[in-house]
Amino acid sequence: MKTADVVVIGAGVVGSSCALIMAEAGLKVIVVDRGPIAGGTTGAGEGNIMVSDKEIVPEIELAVRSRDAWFEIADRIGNNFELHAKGGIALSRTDSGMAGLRKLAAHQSAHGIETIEVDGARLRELEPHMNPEIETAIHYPGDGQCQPMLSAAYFLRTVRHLKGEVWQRTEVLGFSKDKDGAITGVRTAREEISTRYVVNATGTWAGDIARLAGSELSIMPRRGFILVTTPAPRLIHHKVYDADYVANVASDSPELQSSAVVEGTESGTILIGASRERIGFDSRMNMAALERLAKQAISVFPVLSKLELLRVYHGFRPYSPDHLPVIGEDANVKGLFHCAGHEGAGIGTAPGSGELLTAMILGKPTFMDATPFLPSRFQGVA
Amino acid sequence: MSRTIIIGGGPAGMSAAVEIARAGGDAIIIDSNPRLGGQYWRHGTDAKFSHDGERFFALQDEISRHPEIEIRGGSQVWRASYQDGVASVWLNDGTSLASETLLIATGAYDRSLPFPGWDLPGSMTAGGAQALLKASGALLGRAVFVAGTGPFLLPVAASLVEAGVKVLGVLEANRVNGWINHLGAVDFSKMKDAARYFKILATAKVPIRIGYAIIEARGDGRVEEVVIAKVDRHFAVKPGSIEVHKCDAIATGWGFTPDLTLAHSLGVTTDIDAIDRSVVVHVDAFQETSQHGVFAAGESTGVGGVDLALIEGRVAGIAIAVQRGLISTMDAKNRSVGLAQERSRIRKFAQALLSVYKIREGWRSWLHPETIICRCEEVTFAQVRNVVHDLGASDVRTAKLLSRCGMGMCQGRVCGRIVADVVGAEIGRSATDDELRGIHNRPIAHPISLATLAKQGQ
Repeated sequence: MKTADVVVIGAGVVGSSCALIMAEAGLKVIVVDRGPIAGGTTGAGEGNIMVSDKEIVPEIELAVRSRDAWFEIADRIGNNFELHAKGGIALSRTDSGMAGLRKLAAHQSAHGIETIEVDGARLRELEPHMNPEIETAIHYPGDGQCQPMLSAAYFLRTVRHLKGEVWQRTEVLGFSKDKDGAITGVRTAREEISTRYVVNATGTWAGDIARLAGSELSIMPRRGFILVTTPAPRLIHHKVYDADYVANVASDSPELQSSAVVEGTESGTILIGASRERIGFDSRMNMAALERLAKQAISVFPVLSKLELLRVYHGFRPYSPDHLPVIGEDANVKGLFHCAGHEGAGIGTAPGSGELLTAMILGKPTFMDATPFLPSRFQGVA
Repeated sequence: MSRTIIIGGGPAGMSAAVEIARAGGDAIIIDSNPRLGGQYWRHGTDAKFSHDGERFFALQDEISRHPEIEIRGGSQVWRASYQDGVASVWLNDGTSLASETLLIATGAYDRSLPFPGWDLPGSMTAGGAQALLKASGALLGRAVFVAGTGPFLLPVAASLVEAGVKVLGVLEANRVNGWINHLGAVDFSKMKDAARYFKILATAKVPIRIGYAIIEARGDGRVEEVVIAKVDRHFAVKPGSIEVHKCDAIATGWGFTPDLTLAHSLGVTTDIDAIDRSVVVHVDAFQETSQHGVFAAGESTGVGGVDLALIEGRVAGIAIAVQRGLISTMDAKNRSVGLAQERSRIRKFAQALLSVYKIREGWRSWLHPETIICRCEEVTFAQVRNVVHDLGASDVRTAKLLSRCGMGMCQGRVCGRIVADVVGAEIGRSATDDELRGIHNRPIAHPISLATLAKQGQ
C-alpha cells in the first residue's frame, strides 16, 4: 500500500495548485484524477486571473492574494504558462451601468484593488479598436491571464520533481475510515493510498466525491461557450468586458445570459465569452449563445466583424448555492477537505485556495478569515 | 418533404442528384468550389481535362437539364446538425437549409506525412500540386520529384510532365509489384489511362523507383535539394542508401483520408477502417447512415475511387427517391440492377489496394527533433515529445492542448492523424478509436465571419 501525507483528487488547476503548495511545504502528495491532466473545466476556460469582477469582501481578499500568488509561483518555478498582467477594462454604455461600475470600483479600491476611471481619449490609447461610442470605463491594471492547461501541467511537473506523484486515469473508488469516521485511506482503481488528508478538488463533480465519502456537497454546472477567432495581429490588449458580466455572475437565473468578454491571446486568436446557462452537463451547441456573443463582441470592437470564428468550445463552471467557493474541512468527514465550486474564477483563485487549505491542514494561520468559504455553511452536521 | 440536400458536388453527389432528378425529385447541391466536379474533376473555366472528361460532361449535362436541381457553388457549410429526423446545414452566406433527406458526399483529402523540410516553400502534397495545375495551370517548380505511396502518384507525375515540368523521379515507398494492374480499377475507369501515364513518363525518361522515399528536403528559404533513401518494408531507412539530389520542388502523396467533419456534426455512426484506421461513415446497403434520412456516398464511406463513388451516389439517390415516396421499391430495384454487385467488387479491390499502399510506421524515424509536426502553429516533434514525457500528457487531446498541435487554421485537417500517431507512439500505445474519431470533431466546420454569425439571430 502507498502512503501519502495528502491525496489530492483532481488534476485541474485547483487540484494542481493545492498539490504544488503542499509539496513545496514538504508534504508528500499524490494527485489522483480519473481523466488526464486538466481534462475538465480547466481545459475549457480562458485563463482569467481577475480581481475586477469580485464584489464580496472575502472573494476580493482571496482574488487579490491569489493574483499575487500566481506571480510568486511563476518566479519560483518559471513562467512557462503565459502568465501576464494584461489588465482589464470594464465598461458600460448606460449612465446607470456606469454609476454601478463607479460604486463597485470605489468599494474594490477600499479593499486593495487598483482601479482607474478612464475617459474616451485614454480608452483609445489602451484599446485603439474599441467602439468610439464608448466614452468611459474602469481600467483594472491588476487583472491577469494565464494558459490554464499549461499552468496545471507545469504545477504538476513541479510536484513530481518534489517527490510527489500524479496518477492519471485512476478512479477513486472509496475511502477508508477509522472507528471515529476520520479518513485513513483512499481506495483507487490502481491501489489503496494510506493518508489522513484528502483534498476534493474535482470542481463540477465535487458532489460525487463528497457522497462517496458519506457526506454531501452541492456543486452544480453552469455552462459557458467561448468563441475563438482566426489568428490576427494583436488587436485587443486587455481583457475587456461589458459590465453586465458582473451582474450575470451574481445572477441566479437559469436562462441563457451573455455579455461580451473579449481578449487577445499569445497565439493571435481572440477569445470571446461569456455565456452562462444552467442546463446540466449538456454539451450540445446553442446557436443563440454563439450569435449573441458575436453580436455583443462586435458592438464593443467593431473590427471583430472582419474576423472569422475558427472554433467554439464549452465548459461547465462549478458553482455553489451562494456562488462562493467551498474551501475547508467537511463538516461530517474528518480529514476530507473540499476545494471546489470556484465557478468562473477557479483559475484566478486557485493558488490562494491552495494556500488556505495547506494552512488548514498544517494547522497554521490562514492569510484571511476563511469562514465564509467553509463547507459547513451548507452542510448540516450529522 | 423538402428537397434533398447534397453536400459535395463531386462524382458521388452528382450521380445521386441525377438519380433523384430521374425519379422526379428535387435537390440542392452545395459545394465550396464554384463548379461541379469535386476534387477528381477539378478544372478551370476552360474545362480542360487530363482524364475522364466524358463521364463528367454526361453527368453535368443531365443535371443542367433538370431545373429542380439547384447548384449552390462557392458555398461552404460551416455547421450541420441533426435533430428529430431533420438535418440542417448553415452556409457561409448566412443562410441555412433543412431537410428530411441529406447526402454526405464530402469526399476525401490528401494524407500528409511530415519529414524534415516538408514545410519549406516548394513542398506540396501530390493532390495540392495537381489541383494547382488543374485550377490555374500554375506549376510548383521546374524540376520536381514526386514521392509517397499509391497509384495517384502516376497521374500527378504525368500531368506535371505534360505541363512541361521536368519530373526527376517518381518514388513509391511501398514494395509494390504490378503497379499498372492496380491503377485501372481503382483510380481510373480505364486501363488505357494507366498505360498512357506510363507512356508519358517513359517518353520523358522519368525514373520510377520502387521502395524509395524522400526523407528530407533542404534549402535556404525554399526547396533546393532532397534526401532520398531506400526504405525497408516498414519504411525504415536502409543504411548506406542515402542520396542527395538537386530540385526546386517536391510533391508528396500518401493516399487519402475521408473528410468526416460534417458527418461527425450530423452524429452518424462511424467505423474505423481495419487496414488504415481511417474513420469512415457506417452505411447500410442503401447508403443510409445510422441517422434516418441521412445518406453517405463516395470517399466518406471509405476511400475507393471515382467508380465506387459514382455507384454509391446512384444507390443513395435511388434510396432517397424511395424514402421520399417518389418511386416504388419495385421501380428502385429496376433502376439498381447490377449496382450492388459492382459496388461490392470495387470495395473489395479498394481494400486490397489500401493494404498494398499502407503507410508503414517507420516514417516516424525520418523525423528530426526540430521537424515541424503542425504547420499552422509551428509545433515541432521535440515539443510534442516534451508534452508527453515532461508534462505528462497521456492522451492525444491533452497533447494537442498543451502543445497547440492541431489548434491552428486547418483545425487538424493536415496534422490530426499525424499527431494521433506520433502521440500514440510516444505514450506507447496506438491512438484509440475515439481519439481517431475526435480528429473529425469540428463543430465549426469552416471559419465563419463573425459579422455573418451576429446577423444570423436577427
